[in-house]
Amino acid sequence: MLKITNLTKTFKMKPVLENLSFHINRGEIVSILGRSGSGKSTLLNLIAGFERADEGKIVLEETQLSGGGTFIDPSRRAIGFVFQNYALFPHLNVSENIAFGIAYLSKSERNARVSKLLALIGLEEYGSKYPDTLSGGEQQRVALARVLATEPSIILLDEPFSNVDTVLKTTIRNELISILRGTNATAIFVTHDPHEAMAISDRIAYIDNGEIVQFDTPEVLYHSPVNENIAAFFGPINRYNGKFVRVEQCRVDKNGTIAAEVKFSQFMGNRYETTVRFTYEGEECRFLLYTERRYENGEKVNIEF
Amino acid sequence: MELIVNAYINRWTIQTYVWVLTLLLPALVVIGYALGAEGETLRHLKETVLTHTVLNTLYLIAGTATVASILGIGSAYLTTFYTFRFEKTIALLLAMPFVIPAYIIGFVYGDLFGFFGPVHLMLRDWGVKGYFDVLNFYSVVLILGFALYPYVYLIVKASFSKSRSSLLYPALNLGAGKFRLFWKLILPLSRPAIAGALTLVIMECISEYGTVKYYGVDTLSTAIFTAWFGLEDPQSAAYIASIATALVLFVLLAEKFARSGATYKSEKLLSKIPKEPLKGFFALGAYLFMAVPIMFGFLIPLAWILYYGVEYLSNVMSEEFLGVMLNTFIVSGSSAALIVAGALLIGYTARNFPYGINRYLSKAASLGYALPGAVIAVGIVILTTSYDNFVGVNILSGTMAVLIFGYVARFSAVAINTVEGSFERLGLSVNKASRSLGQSHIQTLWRIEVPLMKRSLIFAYALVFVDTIKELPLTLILRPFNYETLATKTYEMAESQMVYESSIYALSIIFISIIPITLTIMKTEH
Repeated sequence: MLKITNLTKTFKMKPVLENLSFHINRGEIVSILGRSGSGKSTLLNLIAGFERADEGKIVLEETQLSGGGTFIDPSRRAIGFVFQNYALFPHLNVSENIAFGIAYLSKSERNARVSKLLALIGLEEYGSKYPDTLSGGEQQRVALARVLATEPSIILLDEPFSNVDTVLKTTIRNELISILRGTNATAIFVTHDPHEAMAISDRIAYIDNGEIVQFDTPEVLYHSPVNENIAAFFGPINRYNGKFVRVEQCRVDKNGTIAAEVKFSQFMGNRYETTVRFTYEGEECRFLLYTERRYENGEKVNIEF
Repeated sequence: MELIVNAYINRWTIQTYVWVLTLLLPALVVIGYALGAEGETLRHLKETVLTHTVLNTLYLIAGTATVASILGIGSAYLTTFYTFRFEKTIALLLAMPFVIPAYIIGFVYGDLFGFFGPVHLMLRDWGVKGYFDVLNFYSVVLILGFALYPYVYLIVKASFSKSRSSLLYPALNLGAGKFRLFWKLILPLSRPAIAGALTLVIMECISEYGTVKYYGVDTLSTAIFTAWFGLEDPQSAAYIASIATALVLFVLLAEKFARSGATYKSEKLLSKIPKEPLKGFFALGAYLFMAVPIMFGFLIPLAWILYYGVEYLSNVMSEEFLGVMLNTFIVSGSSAALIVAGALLIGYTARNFPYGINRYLSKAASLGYALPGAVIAVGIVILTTSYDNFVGVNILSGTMAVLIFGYVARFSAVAINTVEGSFERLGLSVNKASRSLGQSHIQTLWRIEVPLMKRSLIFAYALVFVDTIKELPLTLILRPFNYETLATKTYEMAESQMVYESSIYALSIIFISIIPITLTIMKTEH
């Protein structure tokens, strides 16, 4: 449905995206995951048409948006964009915001679509309110409704949860995802939060230094990362002998094959975190373990992984 | 290649380039024309006027900058770091000379200290014989000092109040006395602000026409007029204008140099600097110090104008007055509208296509503001007369359109500044949102950004409007024959010994200026 081939973008002689290729299927929710400065927001801006690629093609549903001399203006792309700060128009009320992109419809059609969307996002009573009076989560749902109104082929969301209070984050995220799933929308999220990416996506594209390093389901990225970098990004790892293992896969086991010595143990609330030291194939190693009790400094334990 | 073509050449950028080039045209013509000046003319100029007008201009700059610095920095210091009775009122009054154009202050003192003026009458009453003439260079320095110090006061005050308490507290803690703190820390930290403010003062000095003419001081600005009207020698006028331009560019470069390496980013204030109460003799001195510029720069001129303005108030209903008012509103109103529209165009292009030369568009378009009004006017007259000569018919020269073009070329900077700031605060995301919802650039500007920027746009309009109303030299040169505006009428009446009758025109200028300027002052303060 969305097919990107050899996309390249350079800023001030510095490559931001290099030869990037991937495709996304209809109805899929994909996350572009990476650290800040990895080029993920640039990718989103290129797809939306806010920036121009130096090279490469972007094709959406058989229509070439960019590349080979073509460049379709963002206003003609049928791509929905949900901004980090929502970018609601403060001088228009909720209904006017939602109706903004469908001025070409007749008034009755427009009103019907607005009420349908207000119901979808659970803000039926909010039509005449102004954006400033809404909570962050409500603003975000309005921003999504405004995009859905235009019936876009694909929806791009740029760090949509980064301005949301951590306590409410999960609730707001679940609401947004259920709306998206309910409309069978195809969507691309940009995020730097691996847990968020795993929670919401069918597939995750891990992007680093302007290249897609791995593009697969959350489970594959978590359990079989192609490199240590990705592994460490998704959760703590222990390194040994040029290899790595997830911390939760290591345990104290009295039949364990490796004899280690406890350095120290700390209470973390739901578990203890114990650091041990041992020699493995002639190399000094330090492992972090999640344990059920505190171990004394210098205590000898056997571990297994 | 395709990328470059698209980034630079689209409808928006092309329109903007044309607009900016139009704004720059008068200055370019002046420089071009001056470069073509013949040796003979130059030698003649050098022998007759050039040396002493350049020197006079430089002395005027030095004198005015000194007076304005002492008054401006002193009162900024007192109002920032001390608390005293009527603090807020005094802080506002200190900025008020801004509403009275320098030439009006000049006319008032010319009358007050004139042979038949109240000061000499009083002295004669007391039996003092003799007469001292105030129509000299030193009076001009004082008058311009009183008229222009608010630039220093406002800009430096804004900079002082951003002095970080995070720096001041440790300094106090290390035992620095109050005066050492001021000389060693606060003042050096405000160097960029002082340089910026003085640049504005200097540019006003170079541009000043009404006061220097009235007081008989020959500067570059008056020399342009003499060459133009007196000698009818456009080549010399353009040459003198280009020297004024060079002087302005030199000042701008010097300011940039003074600022370099001294850009202290203003952090967010962690806490307000505690103000100290004024006490004892120091308090008395401080009140006196602040009273001087308020009295001489604002209250005395205002009282004089009000006194005679009320006396001649019946003239307000005269056909003449109403005609002048209408003329002023027509040219200033349409210029301001064009300027704001142009500023929207430039601001939009600069923000949405921030590539290559597009980043310098607003700077280029602002050049006119730095140049003296007479310089721009000379450039425009050369342009229009050569065009008329070329087509063989007088279609441009002496029309209202030419005057409006003059205002637009000179005052666009004011609106560009305000509009750009407003675009910046608005950010790009609502623009992107609107475009991704299917709206074109122009639809987005019209449906989203203009409504959201409404207040700034009105404010920019008002500021430009006031600036054009006050502008004297450019109006004198470019206006259609017998076309009087408030500024030209005030000036001409004062020049021809009808200074009392001119008061209602002066009063009108002050009245129109007072609201937008007070708003600006309050905006700078916060």
